[in-house]
Formats: sequence, structure tokens, C-alpha cells
Amino acid sequence: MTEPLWQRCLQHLEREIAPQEFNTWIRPLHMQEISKQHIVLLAPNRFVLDRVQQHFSARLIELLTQLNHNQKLQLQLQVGTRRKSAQAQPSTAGDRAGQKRNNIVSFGDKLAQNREPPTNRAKPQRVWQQSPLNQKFTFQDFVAGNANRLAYAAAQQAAETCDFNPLFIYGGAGLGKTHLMQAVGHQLRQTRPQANIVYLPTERFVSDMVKAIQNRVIEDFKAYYRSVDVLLIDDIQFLAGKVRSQEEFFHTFNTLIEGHQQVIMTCDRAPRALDGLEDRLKSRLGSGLTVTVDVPARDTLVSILQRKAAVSNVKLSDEVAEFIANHINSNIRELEGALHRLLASARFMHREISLDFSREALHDLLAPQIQPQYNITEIQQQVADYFKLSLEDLLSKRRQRVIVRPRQMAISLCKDLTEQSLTEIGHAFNRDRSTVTHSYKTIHKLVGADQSVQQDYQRLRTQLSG
Amino acid sequence: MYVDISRKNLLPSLKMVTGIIERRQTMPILANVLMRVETTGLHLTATDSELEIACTIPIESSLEGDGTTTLSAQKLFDICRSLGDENSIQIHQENEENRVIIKSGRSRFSLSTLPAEDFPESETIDEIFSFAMPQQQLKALFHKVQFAMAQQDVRYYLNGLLLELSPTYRHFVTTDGHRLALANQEAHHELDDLLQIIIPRKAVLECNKILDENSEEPVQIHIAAGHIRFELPNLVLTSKLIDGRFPDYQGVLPAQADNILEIPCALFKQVLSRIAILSNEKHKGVRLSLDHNQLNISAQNPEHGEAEEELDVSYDGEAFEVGFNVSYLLEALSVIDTEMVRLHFTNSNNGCLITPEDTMEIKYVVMPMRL
Amino acid sequence: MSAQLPLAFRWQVPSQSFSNYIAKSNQTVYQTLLQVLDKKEELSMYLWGESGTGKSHLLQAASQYASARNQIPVYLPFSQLQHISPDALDGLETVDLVCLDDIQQITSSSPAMLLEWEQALFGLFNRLHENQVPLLITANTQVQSLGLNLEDLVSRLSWGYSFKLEPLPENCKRIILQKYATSLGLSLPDKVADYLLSHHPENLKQLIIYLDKLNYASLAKKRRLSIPFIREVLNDRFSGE
Repeated sequence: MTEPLWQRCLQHLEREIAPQEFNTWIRPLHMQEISKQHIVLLAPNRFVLDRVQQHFSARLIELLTQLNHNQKLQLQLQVGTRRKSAQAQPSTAGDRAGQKRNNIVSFGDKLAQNREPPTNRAKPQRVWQQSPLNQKFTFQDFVAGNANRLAYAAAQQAAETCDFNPLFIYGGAGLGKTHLMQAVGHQLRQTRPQANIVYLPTERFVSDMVKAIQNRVIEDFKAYYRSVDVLLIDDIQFLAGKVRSQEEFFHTFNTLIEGHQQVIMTCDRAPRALDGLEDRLKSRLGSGLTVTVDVPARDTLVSILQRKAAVSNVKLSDEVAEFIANHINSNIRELEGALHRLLASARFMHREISLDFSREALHDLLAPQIQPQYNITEIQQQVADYFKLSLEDLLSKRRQRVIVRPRQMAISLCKDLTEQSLTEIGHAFNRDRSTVTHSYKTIHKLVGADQSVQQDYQRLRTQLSG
Repeated sequence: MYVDISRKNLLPSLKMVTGIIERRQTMPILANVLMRVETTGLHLTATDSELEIACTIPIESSLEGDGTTTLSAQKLFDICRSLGDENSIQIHQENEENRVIIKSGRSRFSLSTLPAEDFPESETIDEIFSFAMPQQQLKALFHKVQFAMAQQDVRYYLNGLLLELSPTYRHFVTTDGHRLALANQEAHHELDDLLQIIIPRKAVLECNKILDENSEEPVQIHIAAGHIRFELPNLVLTSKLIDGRFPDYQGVLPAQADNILEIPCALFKQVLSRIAILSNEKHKGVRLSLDHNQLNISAQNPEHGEAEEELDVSYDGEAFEVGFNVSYLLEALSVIDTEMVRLHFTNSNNGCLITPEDTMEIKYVVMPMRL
Repeated sequence: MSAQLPLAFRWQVPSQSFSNYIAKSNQTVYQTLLQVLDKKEELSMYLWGESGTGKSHLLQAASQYASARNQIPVYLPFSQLQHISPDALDGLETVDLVCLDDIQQITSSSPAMLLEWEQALFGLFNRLHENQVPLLITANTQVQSLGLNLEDLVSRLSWGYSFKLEPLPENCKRIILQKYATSLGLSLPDKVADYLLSHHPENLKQLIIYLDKLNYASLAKKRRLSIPFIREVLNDRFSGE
């Protein structure tokens, strides 16, 4: 049996094109359709499409024609995908799962199917882009502590009544704002299954609006957002400096609040600190309840770690959890990142998660706080002083052993302790890189064989780190 | 075993098979030719373990029937060559004896043999594709490209000829890394994809010898995973293929060039040969300076002096200078048989494309030299 | 000195795949990466390390792996793409795997451009997260020291797995160089490979560049790779103490 034409074409291209180029420009292409006369290839975006068009389309046509027994094929390149992005997934009927579709002009497409503005509140049509909720972001999975107790309580309240409207949650990155907001969403979906609960990041609100304006469907856009029952909007700080979006958001916001529809927002700072936002919007944003999440206390971090580990069926000892929390405590995402790494390392190295192992597995994450900075000049000076030489001698071309050995030692210390390249180190010693390597090898050989060299080296290292 | 055969029948075939035997042999049996007598004729086989030639010669009589043995190819050839033209030769071996008697007229030779069982068996090949073409065509195509094959290059896959078959063409390609030769022939093959094989240098040269430049008779070409076989009536040449990847030759064919020089081929050859006398012996560099309808060819030899010649040519591209190894140019020109030759230039760092005046089926690419 | 130029063949060097990846001290990274590709737990991975520690190899291997499973990968090598702009990240949530190689490149752009990049990456991260699309990122330093201003982006990038890649031991480098030479149709004898490694103790990426240079010279001069030839081509100087 012969392989399909496109497969054979790929095999040829793979042989002709440098692997990196093949990975960058050819692999992202998806063969959407092929007939006797034409072939349709989809590129994920304009950027890839343009490059393929410019550099590869001629060869593609040539190859395809050749492999097609000299029957010329027409090549169509389009932006699109075989898979719909979740954000662009309309819930309208007729969109079978797994159906290969093309979302080049997804906006126009969707609107063509939904010519009537979605004014019917009873049957909301979620045609505008929105995001799914993260399954892990529920109240059950939230670890409350003093730093976020008020925010936690407010969110729970918002999930029951519409008393605090809008609810504005702010705080630093990775402290659980999105988690709290989505937890409200999860709960409301259970208690009010009929309600149209929309979650989306601010940047999507902005980009959708821009597209709506371009496609002249801004009225649909407005009507839609003003019709939702609950609006959860993430990272509202991204409205800063975007005048038109602010304007539109302001009106949407007012409509929702007046209609007693719940609005919850997250932000990286308090409303009044939002530069680049209109004053009237700032004051409206803060008109309900404003709560803050802060960096959790160590004990909260410890319980977050232990609870997360338990999800992966790992019991994390207090000792280890405290160790991690002591070192990585600026935000929860980084904390979780460290835990992910620790769990993976333990699993693949088949090790118990002990304190020592944690230190070893996470050494580079912990390092920035511990490792002092060295510089070459300092090392040169200290070594010269140690051996009672002048800096000039150390850096000279002289080859007496009393100078050569300290010079080699200084070079090795630079290689051991600084991040400088061999060339840079060589340069600082008026030598070339192969001298650096040679010195380094010599010293390390001697450290193993000659006790006095070892002593000098150790002392210098200690002295330098002191 | 007994066979009586005319010298004029035996000698050409013997020469052919003996030709592939390596002078210095580590295995004595490989210096021998396998001789098998059957009622259909006398079969001769020689091999160097990479390449094998087997041929069949009609015989006058074979009184005592079948038999096989091996004997020194070179000695047998030298003997036959030394005999008179019109003689017939009788070759005879008693059963169980480890020598053969060769008689012709009043001459008598006794040659020691080695057992036929020790002779390497012919490879059985699993054919994946085969085609046929007239002998003279294949010979002509080989002739157009074989000069550019590498010789004992570290890149072993260049020491051969790339045969590329597609559904619609055959390409014969050779390169030594400095120049490249490509001959294209349109053809129809029942293939879905490209088939590329590299035929070793020696097989190409030997095959060229067995092909008759005046014969329309087809040669059958059988391709297997590691072998190629050329079949003529009474003659079969089988060679191992070079297991390697030929470089992407399409990528080095210069794109359409604007600067095209047209010049009588014979004249160009004469002038280059003259100028070459004073090119550097090692690098063989000559300089071509082009201007509107003017070509200046020059060479400098640090020890002996300089040479220069002006030519009126047809050229309306931009003025520029470029250096070449003169033997690369001459070798390409010597296989072009049209009156005029075209040289297509892009710039002095790119290869120059040389073609006959009337076709793009034959292409030579010669890389320049920095002088 | 006159010099013959060789034909500029495009050599078919081996693509960087998992089958020719040598993990050694990066075994955990490798295993975790496979797990990310199989969408087992976390879906984003940030790899950092010096040049020549195999970052690009892993990412290209990952995209090949995805292709082989009939998925659509995107691989963007930031240090190779001259005119890359944030719109290169548009729509990437619709593919099956996103690999961004050498993202430290963005930090050398103007502050305004950097902000655009950061927002684009932030948006992409969120969209990939929603769509459950694995994201692999490499850089030359850890996230915190990249010089990014958008805290929300930094914390997201450190959320998934982040690993440092360690360089390979010398004997592995030798094997890799020899394999690479073979793909150029050249043989690199042990002694010659060791010479290269000891006199040019650079990272693998640089050594591979040297091999390309040697390959070109060897074709031009029709010479094999020998120690004298390497000395000649790479202009080695001898200075020792």
C-alpha cells in the first residue's frame, strides 16, 4: 500500500530542510483536505502562514506535483486548525465533538449562525468567547489562612447572596485570587444551574471587543455581556490604558450592577491604585466590597503543600513542607512549582522525600538566596594576597612556579565560583581559553594528589565565601 | 571437463571478466576465474567481492560434458592473448586433478586450479524494481557524468553515481564536492516515490566497458536492496550498492541566472588548454573576466610566467571576474557535443552552470576558486 | 593562496529526537517531560541551563514526538527567528503542543516591546491552560532572573515544572560529535574527537558549529578529519604553562 501523498511530501521535505526549520514551519501545518486538483493546508496563525507562503510554498507545489505523477495540484494555505479552541467553542447545536473545523473567521461564522441578538434571557446563547473554570479551583481545595480569611469569607458570601456587588479581590501574583473567584463560579453553577455564569480574563474581553468592532457586531457584543447573570472577570488591571474597552466595560458593569447581577473582579492592586483607568471607573470598581489576599503565613503554606501533595497520594512530612515554605514563600504558584518538581524528582529517581533529598532536588530554586556573588577581580586580589604576590605578578607572563601555581589556582577558582565563560576568564588573566582549561585541570588533579595544594585551595574557597 | 573454443570468442569475454579482478588479492581464490562448462556454453565468472561479472560463450564442442573449476584469470588471459588469432583452444581437466591442461596447436600449458566450491557464490538478489533501456543510451548517459565521480574520497558515497528514479524521470548524478554532473532522461516508471541508489565507481566504469555504443539492444537493470544487476544477452554484471546518503544535489543547482555566456565549445576548449599551460600546477586556477561580448582568460604561474587570451563572445550580462580549476572546465566541455556551450553565472561565489546550447537535460555545476 | 570552493550541500543532519537524546544527569527532566507530553499532571514546563545543554534538542524532540502521534506541534526558536513579534503567539491554543525555545531573547527588546511580549505570553499561558495544551519553554536562566516585569507571568511560568539542565559528561559529547560527523558523511576517529574536546572545551552547540566548519573545509580540500587538519582549520594556538 502506498502512503498518502502528503505524508510522502513531508518525508521528502524532512530530508531537504534543516530539522529546525522543518520543526518550526512544516510540522505546525495540518493537511485539511486533498483532492485531485487541490490541497488545503492549515497554519496555526498568520505568522507561520506568511513564512510558509514566502519560503516553502513553491517547493511544496513542486514536490506535490512531482509525487502526484506530474499532475499539478493547487495549494491553498489558510489560517486555521482541525481543533476548536475551548475559548472559541460555541455551545450552539450542530457542533459535533471531534468534527474537524476551520476557525479562520470564527467570528463571522458564529454570527452568521446567530443573526438575532441574544436578548432572550431564558435561553442564553453563549456565543461570545468565554473560558471554562479550572476544576481544581473550588472552595474545598482552597486553603484559608489569616492572610486571605476575609477574601475567603466574602467569596463564600458572594456565592450565596448578591450582597456584595461588585466584589473586588486584589493582591499579588499567585496568591489565589483566581481560585477564589472561580470557586464562586463552581458553587453558583450547582446552586443556580439555569444561570448564565461567565468567566473570562480581561484580555479576552478586550480582544473580543476589538474583533466585534472590526466585524461591526459591537451591538451584539454589548447585548451579550449585559445579559449575563454572573460575570467573573480576571486581572482587570489589563484594562489600563485601553480607553475604548474601559468605556464599554463601564457601561456593561453599570448595567449588571443595576440589574443586581453579580460581578466579581480580580486585580493585582487596589482600585484606586489602578493607573491608566478613568476615575469614574475606579470609583465604580471599588463601590462594592473590596478585599485583599496577602502572602500566606508559613503555616498556611505548609498546609497548602501538604494538601497538594496528598492529591498526588504523597504524604509530605512537616519537616520538608516547612523547609520548602521557608525558602519559597513569595507566592503560591512558585510554591506549587517547587512541589511539582520535588514530586517528579522523587518519583523518577525512586527516592523518599526526605529533607536532604528535598534540598538536593530543589537546590537551584533555593540557590539565589544562598549563593554569594563572586567577581574575577576580587578573586585575583585575594589569591595574590594569600600567596603574598603582587597583582601584577599574578597577571604577568612570568613562568616561575611560585607564580604559576597561584595563577592557576586563581583561574580555577574563577571557573568554579563565577559564571564567566572560559574566554572571559582567560581575558581577565591575559591568557587564552585553552590556558584556562589547562590550569583548571592541573589544579583539580593536584587537589586530589597534593595535600598542600588542597589546603590552599580549600582555604581560599572558604575565605572567598566568607 | 573438456571444452574446445575459438580464441576470438574467448578472448574478449576473458578480458572483460579479468578486468575487474584486483591486482593485489588477500584471498587467492578471488584472483581466479570460475569456469563452468555446460552444454549451453562456457560460463566465466569473476568477482572482487563487491562486483561480479558473469558471461556465457558459445562453444564448439564439449565432449566430456559438464565440469567446473577455477584458475588464475590473469594467467589464462595472458596465455590466450599470446596465441595466434585463428587458433582454437582446448581446455581439459581430468576428474579429481588440481590442474587444467590448455592446448592450442602445438602449445601446451598446465595451470593449477582451486576448487570451485571455494569460489564466492553469486548473490541472489531480491529485486525491488527493474527497467530496461537501449545499451547505447545508458552508455551515453554514463559517459556524460562519470568523469565527475569522486575517487577514493573520505566521503565514500561520492565515489559512485547516484541513479535517481522517479515516476517520470531518471537522473544520473555524480559529484566530487567541487563540481557536479547531472544527466536527465524522461522516462515512465511504475513508482510512487523516488528511488535513489548509489552505484560504486568501479561498477560504473566496468559497466561502461561492456555496453555497446552502437547497439539498440536493451540492457535490463534490476535493482535490489543492496545490489544492482545489469543484464545483457550472455553477460551479467552485479554490483553491491554504496550504502550511504547522497547529498541533496537539487539544492546546489544554481537558480536561473541572468548572466549567460555563449561560446563555441571547441574554441573554448582550445583556449583553455593553451592558458592552462601557465596555470599553477597544483591548483590549476584560471581567471575568466567577462565584459560585454568580451571574455578574457588568464592564468599565472609563480615560477614560469603568465598567459592571457581575449575572445569575442556573446555576452550581455554584468561585468565580473571569476576563477576556476581549469581541468574541471575542460572535463565538462569534453563531454558536451553541441557546437555552442552556455555558461550561466550568478556571482563569483556561486557555482557556474554549464549546459549544451540546446538542452537543459545535461547540467554541469563547477564551483569557482578564489584566486 | 588560492582556494577551491566546495558545493554548498545542505547536509541532512539528524533531527533532534528522543531516540538520540542522551539524558544522563537530566534523567528526571526527561521523564517529567514525557509525562507532560502525555498530559499526566502539570502541563507546563520551564527548562533552563547554559547553552549546549540540550534545551533545543528536547523541544524539537517533543515536537517530533507530537507529530508522530498525529498531533500538531508549534516550535518557535526565538534566537533563530529574526522578525518574530508577539503575534507569533496568536491562536496557538488551537494546536496540541507549544514549544518556545530561548525566550530570554524577548528581554533584549525595548521596554514597550517587552511589555507587549509579556502580555502576549501571559495571554497565551492562560489560553493554553484553559485548553489543556502542554507548554514547554526554555531560557538561559531561571524564571525569576529573566528580567520579566509582569509578576503574573513570572508566577505562572514557575507554576508547572521548572528544571535546570546539566551539561553532559565528556564521553557522551564524544559520541554525539561522532554521530553528527557520520551524518555529514565524515568519520571522526576517537583520537580526533578527543582532541577537539580537549582543545575546544566549549559547549556542544559550539562544537557542532566547528564540525560544520570542518566539514566544509574537508570538502573543499578533500581531506579527512585528522588532528593536523583540525589545527589548520580552527587555527589552534598552542600556549601552555
